[in-house]
Amino acid sequence: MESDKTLDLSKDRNKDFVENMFSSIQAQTSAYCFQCMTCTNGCPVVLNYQPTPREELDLLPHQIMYSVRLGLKDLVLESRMLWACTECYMCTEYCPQGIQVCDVIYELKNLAVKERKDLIPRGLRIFANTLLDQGRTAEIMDWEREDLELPDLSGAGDEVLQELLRKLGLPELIETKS
Amino acid sequence: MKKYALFLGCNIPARVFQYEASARLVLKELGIELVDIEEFSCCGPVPLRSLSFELFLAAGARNLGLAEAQGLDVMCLCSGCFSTLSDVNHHLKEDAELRAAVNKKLGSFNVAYNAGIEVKHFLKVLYQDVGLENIKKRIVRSYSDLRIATHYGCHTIRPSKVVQFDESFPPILFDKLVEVTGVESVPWAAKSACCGGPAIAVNESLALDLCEKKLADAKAWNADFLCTSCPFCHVQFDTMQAKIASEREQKYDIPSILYSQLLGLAMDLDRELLGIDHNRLSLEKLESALGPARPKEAA
Repeated sequence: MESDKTLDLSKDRNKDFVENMFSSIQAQTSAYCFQCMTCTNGCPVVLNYQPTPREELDLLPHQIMYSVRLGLKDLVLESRMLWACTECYMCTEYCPQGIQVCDVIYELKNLAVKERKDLIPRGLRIFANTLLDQGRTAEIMDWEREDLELPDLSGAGDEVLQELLRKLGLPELIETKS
Repeated sequence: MKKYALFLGCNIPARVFQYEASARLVLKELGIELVDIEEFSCCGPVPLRSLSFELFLAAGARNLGLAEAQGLDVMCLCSGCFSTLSDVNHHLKEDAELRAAVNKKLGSFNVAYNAGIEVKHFLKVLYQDVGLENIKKRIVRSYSDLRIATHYGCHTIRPSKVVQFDESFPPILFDKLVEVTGVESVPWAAKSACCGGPAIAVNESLALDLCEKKLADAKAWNADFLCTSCPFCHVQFDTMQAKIASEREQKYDIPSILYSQLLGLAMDLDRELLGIDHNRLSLEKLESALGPARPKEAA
């Protein structure tokens, strides 16, 4: 194997990270990985960047699963694969070991959001701000709905969701000034 | 008559109102009653789970609790909402401790979720509650010589253990619903692949790449139209296809129709109210494949 294609094991291995990840039932499943690469071979994002997916994504799904076990925290969190994932669940559906690949990726993103705010993609911050400002991700088109004789939508739940997300700390999570 | 709380989400009232209009019409005709719950909010979608699982569960549980308080199961039109609420429901049903923790957070909002309801996708309601035979009885104008690439949408079908969309995997339920209208549902390779929609916020070029791959495959199978049942997928094929044509100079000419519109036309319902002209790409060729109306059977 070419040396530039192998994982960099020289970085610090983080024991707390492994213990933390393995405290969740979903992430624990990554321990069963035997590197068959079914997840990577079925991933539409990896496929899209063939023949050189690692140049665009850093780590491929099966490498992420193995790196979690090895405790390569920085390598995993900085991998662009996390944010390119479309959550299509192909990996999870077909994993012969029952590993919750997509859920592990979600957990890694949650961790990055907590500890490495520099890594949060711009689009995700915009999404969060829209939700905090409007209580929904897009505005209701009243006049278009009227044309189709659809009932009025009061948007009564929007403010409640805004309040819930504020109360549970979304502004601090994405570091917006509230 | 089976009754559901209709969960609309954000994208449908903002961009794909024709899905809501056609689904309401079709379901009314088929004897499914829908209840609108005013206090429903955004489902707390997939990008929220990327930020925080805790917030994702709280937002979802609040919505589920509102339906549960009225003793209603939830029906989603949007596959994103369906996936979110099914996922939250799955976690909260499996884990009583987690449920208690989420309910504690919801305490001051006067709502709690006790894991007592089901979340269903529109297609499953049609298949399971109405049934193919009953739908067939209501079809008065069949299509002829029409090839459709049926697009399931990732979040409708995976993970299968969580969403429990179809007894068979890969699922066949949507193909059957499409074929009941007289069209041919082609066995295209990319049937259950990603439309690219979820990548839009983070990486638009990836979103267009994935969409284009699907269009190319549908084209290779000589499909005339794509059929969808998710507003995000529909927008990918309807709006992004135009973008691909203009920015990438690749014309595929495979318009997308929402299943509720495809079925509604075959049931001879009002095309204006089905919102046929609200789709960006023309459905003229599809409408011209409709046969003459035969008299309606009694239900």
